Amino acid sequence: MFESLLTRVVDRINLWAKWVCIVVSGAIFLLAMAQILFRYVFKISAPWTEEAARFLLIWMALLASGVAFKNGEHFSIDFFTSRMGPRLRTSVSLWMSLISGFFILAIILWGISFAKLGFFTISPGLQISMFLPYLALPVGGVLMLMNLAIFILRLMKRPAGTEVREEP
Amino acid sequence: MTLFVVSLIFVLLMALGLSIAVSMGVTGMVYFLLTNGFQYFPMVVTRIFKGMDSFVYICVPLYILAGDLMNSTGLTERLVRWARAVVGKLPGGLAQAQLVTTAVFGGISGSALGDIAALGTIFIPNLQKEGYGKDFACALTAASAVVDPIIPPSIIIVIYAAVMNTSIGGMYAAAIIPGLLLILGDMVIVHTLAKRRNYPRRQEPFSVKELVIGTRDATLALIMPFIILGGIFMGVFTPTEAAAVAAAYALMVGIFIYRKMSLKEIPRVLCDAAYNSGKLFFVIACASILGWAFAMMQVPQQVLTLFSGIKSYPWLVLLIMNIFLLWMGMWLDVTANILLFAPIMAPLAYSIGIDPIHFSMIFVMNVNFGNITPPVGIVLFATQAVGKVKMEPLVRELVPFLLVKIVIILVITYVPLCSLWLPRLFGFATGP
Repeated sequence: MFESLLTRVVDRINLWAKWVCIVVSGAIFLLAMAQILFRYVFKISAPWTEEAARFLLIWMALLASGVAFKNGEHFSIDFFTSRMGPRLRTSVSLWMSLISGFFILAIILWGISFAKLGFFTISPGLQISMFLPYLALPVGGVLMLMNLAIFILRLMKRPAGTEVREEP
Repeated sequence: MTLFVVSLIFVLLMALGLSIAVSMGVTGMVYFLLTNGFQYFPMVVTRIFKGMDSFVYICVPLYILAGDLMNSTGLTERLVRWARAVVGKLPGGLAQAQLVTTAVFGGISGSALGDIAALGTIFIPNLQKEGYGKDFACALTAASAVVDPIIPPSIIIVIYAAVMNTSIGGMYAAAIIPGLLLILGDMVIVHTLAKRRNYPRRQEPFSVKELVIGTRDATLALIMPFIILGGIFMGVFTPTEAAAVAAAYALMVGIFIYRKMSLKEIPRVLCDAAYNSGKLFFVIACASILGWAFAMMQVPQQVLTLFSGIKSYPWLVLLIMNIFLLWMGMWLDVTANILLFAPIMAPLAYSIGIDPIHFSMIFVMNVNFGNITPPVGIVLFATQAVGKVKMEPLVRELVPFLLVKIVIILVITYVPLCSLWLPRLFGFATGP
């Protein structure tokens, strides 16, 4: 019950995150094209395009890597774990997921204070508060944690040794 | 001592299947926790942001996008067909064509682990269908998956340039000769094996007409590298802009000329690019935590002191570096290797008078080829999983490819001109 509700909520949020990623990667592409246009057609340099692309990239990367936690898709080495027995493998995987959880928790906690710190700093190019780009850390962290929670719940529920990964 | 403990934690976490990125992040955090408590944590988390915050990295999603678009618009397909028309008559025609395709357009996903998944699912079944052995098909795919990241426009080179502040254009120019040598080396191996084992070649006679048609069809794909590299070398575009132009070009060709792509597919392609670069950037971000920990432990200085005794024998230092980097490549993803070890090894290389661009080639080649070096080689395991083959026969098939790569590494290492001639010709500053 709890699991299915959580899965539904997270899936919905992931869908939003996916659309944000699509728009942002499109925007990065357009910004790079705009840079050429500004230089060759309007003969002016627009330093804000580069800064905007940099900040958007960080948002995109953290959101996308958040979604990737759901199916444990981050690059890992399964040389040793694939040789373990099914029960041992599940419990090792569980412990490793908990370690990931603590790491993400640290990102969220210190990420919030980092974002607050940037509140009154103004970025040189875009003239926006640095709070906005810094916010990517805690927000991305929360998305990672939610997806990791789903991964852990599935890991505990499945019979030992069966694959948790599923086709997206 | 601390270094030993930290390395041990890192290796242990990774061996237990924790993702490479998180392993690096956690290990870095544990170091700061053990030495200073939570005092440094605000800065540690800041590293995640700062690690990704470089204008050079804007290239990465754009190159991934360009590669994706080339595949889904049919540009890659035409490239393969052209390659078959050119080299198909040689013994082992399809295998040769695969190598030629690699030479024209390099890596797609920026991670050999990603490339093997993408390439393997296309190339391995195709080769098998034509009667190549499964083990040979897998070995060839693994061997070309690690050459991909050397060939410009390469994402691995972008990452190295961002970390070490070298010029992307200079590195792309430097990579051309080693890249061609590597492809040529692989082709010679395929040729010899195909002749001995009687692998299929094309039955139809070689026809000039087919070559002309194939070339005409593939022209639009063939000029892609010239747009990117030419634009960068002539100073028309920055590498980032070149990547965007490449993506725009592929999109235009796909929509207006080949009419193979519909606008509806654009969100999917953008999403794939975001997703693949996201996973890559998470490695980059987390690696900068551990990299910072290494810097705090003064590892680069320790390495310099360690080698001070044999500094008057540059060839020996280079040899040891090669072995060390190849060995690290066996265990770690290329991106992680660059972020962790380039800042450590480069000062040593510069101190014995190696040019930064020359060193970058040595570094990138070694950590890439380490990925397929038995007994561990992480790409080896990925290949095994994708192609469903046994390790031993796979390694046996791979050995000739690996040997020729090691010979080429040695040539590049000890003949600086191979990697420095073109950058000098194009006027990229190559001094320390």
